[in-house]
Amino acid sequence: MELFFEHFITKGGYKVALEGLLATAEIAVFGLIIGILLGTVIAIVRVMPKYKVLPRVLDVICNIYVALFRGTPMVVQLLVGYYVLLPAIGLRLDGVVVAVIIFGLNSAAYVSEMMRSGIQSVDIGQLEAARALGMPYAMAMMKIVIPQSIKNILPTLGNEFIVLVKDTSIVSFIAVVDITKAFRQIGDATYEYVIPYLFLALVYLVLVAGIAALVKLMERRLKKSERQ
Amino acid sequence: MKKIISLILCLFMLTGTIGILASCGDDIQIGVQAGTTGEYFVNGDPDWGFEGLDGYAAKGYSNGGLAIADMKSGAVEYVIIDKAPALQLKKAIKGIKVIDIELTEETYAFGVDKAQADLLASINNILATEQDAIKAIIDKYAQGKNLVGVVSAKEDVSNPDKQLVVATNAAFAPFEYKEGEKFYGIDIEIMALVAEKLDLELVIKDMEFDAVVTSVGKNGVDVAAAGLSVNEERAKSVNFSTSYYDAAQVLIVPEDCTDFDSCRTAEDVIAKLDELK
Repeated sequence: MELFFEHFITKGGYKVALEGLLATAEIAVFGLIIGILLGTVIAIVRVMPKYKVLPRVLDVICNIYVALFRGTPMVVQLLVGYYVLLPAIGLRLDGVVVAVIIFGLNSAAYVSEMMRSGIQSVDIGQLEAARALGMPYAMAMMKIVIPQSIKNILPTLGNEFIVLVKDTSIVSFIAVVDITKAFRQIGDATYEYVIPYLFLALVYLVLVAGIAALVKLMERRLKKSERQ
Repeated sequence: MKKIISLILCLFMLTGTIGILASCGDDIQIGVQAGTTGEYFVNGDPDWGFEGLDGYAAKGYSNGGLAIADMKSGAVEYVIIDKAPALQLKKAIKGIKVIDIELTEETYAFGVDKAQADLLASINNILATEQDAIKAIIDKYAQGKNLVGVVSAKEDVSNPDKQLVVATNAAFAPFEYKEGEKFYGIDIEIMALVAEKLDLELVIKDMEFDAVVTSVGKNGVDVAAAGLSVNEERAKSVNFSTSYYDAAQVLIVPEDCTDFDSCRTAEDVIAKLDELK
């Protein structure tokens, strides 16, 4: 215990932990933002009426994308992206940026499925009414259907965010120091893992509890428009 | 249809059970740090010239401390790891014993990006001209005094020519370890010396040991400095510098284990292990 606090406080381990926390937050937050934006686009493509060729082709592409990113573990995507694809195209990016991109792409696959079920949960009459009022398809989607579906899937989106926060613990594979790595370094230095790991678990617990509270708050706000 | 599904499920369960049964009473587990010489020594590897220990299997951990923790809880019987880290572990953890017999002969060197022949030449040159300084670094880590911590510079992706990016696994005291935000260790201080001589900023990337060699030459990593034993397999992905340290694998056992007390040579230890399986 004293050994842990000696490394954590006196030797400046808390600075590494704070930087790690920042990296964890950055990756999860920006990953989720990319995930929601791209996921929404994919979901719209997949629910679009398929009378023409273009939507059909896009649908096939989106299907492959979702299958690819849902069918492989995120660690593998991270490793392939960082150690195979980037060197192959000769591009050099910061590890955190790579992690944000991969987390975003991965999250998009999951969010697209959530969004699709959200869109489908909105009564088709809503879209029909909007179209009948003369709104173009895209506008009706963006202004009428998507806002309602986001409200419906907010709890699952919160879930996705929590999963992303916890999954950041794999980024040490590409030499990014996240909160897990920061505490592991303390364990590695002291050969004493019990306290650092328990402390780490506590940090995640507090983080996730915070997110859960935030999601609940948003849910309550969005419910204001509903009839009681 | 239902019958077919249930039949398939039954088959799965059956194979699963057989698999679990078969893995019981199988090889005795020896804890190693994943990807290190110890792993090849236990499992056998023609590239390294190891025959492997018959009846034993290596269980890879991300560092030696975890392997020892698992030895204490009984999940692995022994631990095989490099000698200097083994002595360091002995200092920090109670209830273990290092069998001070060198099981292998190997040397550590730095792994340099194959595309940078000039960097390899400069490092070899520094290793040759600064022999005294390097010996002093190794000596002071043996005594554990006057150690100089190094803070990694922030990686600057846009300016790769001004930085020396070193890949390491900072869980291998006394060669590399981290206390707070500072990196310490023989490799770290030698690399700091190299960076100073070449007038470069030192960036240290701490990653899994498995990834250290593969990362060289990718995403700007110039050198691997991680107590790397020279071997042909690794030489396919990096150019090794001249070696700076003679290393060996040793066996770590629980303190109350007296089986190896009579051993004098590596052959004795291997024969004893063979007898105990």
